[in-house]
Amino acid sequence: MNDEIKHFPENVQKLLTDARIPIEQLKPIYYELTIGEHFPDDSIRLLEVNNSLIEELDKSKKLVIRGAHDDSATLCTSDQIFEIKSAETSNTLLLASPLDSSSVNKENGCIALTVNSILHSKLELTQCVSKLIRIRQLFEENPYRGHFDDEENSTRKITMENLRNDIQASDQAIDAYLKKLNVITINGHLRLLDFDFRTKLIEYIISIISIQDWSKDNIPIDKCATEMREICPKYVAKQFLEQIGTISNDGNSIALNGNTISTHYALDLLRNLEKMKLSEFMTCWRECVPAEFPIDLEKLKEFVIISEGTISYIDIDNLSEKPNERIKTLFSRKNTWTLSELEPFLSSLTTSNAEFNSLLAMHTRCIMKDGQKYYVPKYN
Amino acid sequence: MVQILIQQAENSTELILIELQGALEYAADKQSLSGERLGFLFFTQNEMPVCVIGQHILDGKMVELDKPLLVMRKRQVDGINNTSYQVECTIKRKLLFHKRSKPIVHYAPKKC
Repeated sequence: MNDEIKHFPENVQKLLTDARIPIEQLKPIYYELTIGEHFPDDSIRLLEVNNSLIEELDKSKKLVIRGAHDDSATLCTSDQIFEIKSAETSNTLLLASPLDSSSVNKENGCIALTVNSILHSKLELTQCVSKLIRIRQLFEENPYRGHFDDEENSTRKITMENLRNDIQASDQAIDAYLKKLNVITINGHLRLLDFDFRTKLIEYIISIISIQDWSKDNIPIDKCATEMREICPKYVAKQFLEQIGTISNDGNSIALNGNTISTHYALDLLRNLEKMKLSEFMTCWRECVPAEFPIDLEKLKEFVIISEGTISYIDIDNLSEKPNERIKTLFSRKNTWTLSELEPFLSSLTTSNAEFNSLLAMHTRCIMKDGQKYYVPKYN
Repeated sequence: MVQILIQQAENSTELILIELQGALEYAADKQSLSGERLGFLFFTQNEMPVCVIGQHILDGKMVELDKPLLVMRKRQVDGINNTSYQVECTIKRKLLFHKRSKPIVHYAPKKC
């Protein structure tokens, strides 16, 4: 029993009696809530987060919100992106702060709490997918073409900082996408290599290694880049070589990535055509790609649609980001799909396996044909 | 496109979140409320909070939040391009008064 704080002050005792709250059931310390002098504090916002965001805030001391004025705002961390939405509540939220947290007025056991904010909403976060297509659009305004490149003319110079400011995506997603696009750095700016220029570079490299009698698994970077100076500066050649091969432990040579090379040739054949007969494509493909590199249709999964003996190119970045629209487009090009065919086109729209499965369940139905599972549109 | 930073404030403030069902009605307009007493908060011997606001008694409980809340203060210097937020406090629990309030009934003293 706290003998120093035996009774509440008279007015409080009266209040408790009127309220029929038995005084002996209460702890001796109580709080008086008063409206503070800064009320109403309109600059306060509540943001609902999670433990990993709190850790991120502790670690890097900041969280970043990105968005255009007409876009919804998104919270971006190094590996996640969330949509920020305001949620109203019919309840009343009071934020109270102790006037002086260390002092308890010993005479009457009272701690003063001031309320400067009364709120009816909080900001909620919903995990969402990155909006990366804008990156490619930015780069395609001025792709790099080697010595014929007119760098002075480029209207827009892009840096990593620009991207972080302009793109609603997590840092990791941006980095991964840049790698996928095979972006290179020229004079501190990021550039995309023009597709036909890449074809030229690949063919040049293949002829150089033949002339020099180098193994495709052991190409000396510096020497090769020097040999390529006819079509591009050495530092560009070096970056390109590092993109199409695996660097050796000592950093001096690369082993060409056969898959990268053969995929490039496949895209070169298909991207300007509506479609091709699959058998014809396989023949042409085998002819274009140097004999020592394997060709594997499986590796083209996210670039092509194979249907009824024909193969055609599909640009995944140009598909709608809205799941139902994307599924509509896919099924308009092919009526039946296997799960492994659908997966590359839909998995980037969802943030979990469960979400992916529910997306399928919502828009497709499953049929069995010759012992294989196929997906067809739910409604014809 | 803008990038807005949310940063930890240098000194964090200690804040208590109290959630009440329904709305508080103000007798006067907002500005003149500073200094006005809102009510009292008591705790029973078994840690249950009891709130008295005006003529209402509210029974509640201390609840851990499913998702913690950041209390942010918006700072705007020179228009929208310089907006930033400072995190004053992280809230992990709240005092939730979820039951209907009970009225305080004053009994007039009986005349003998």
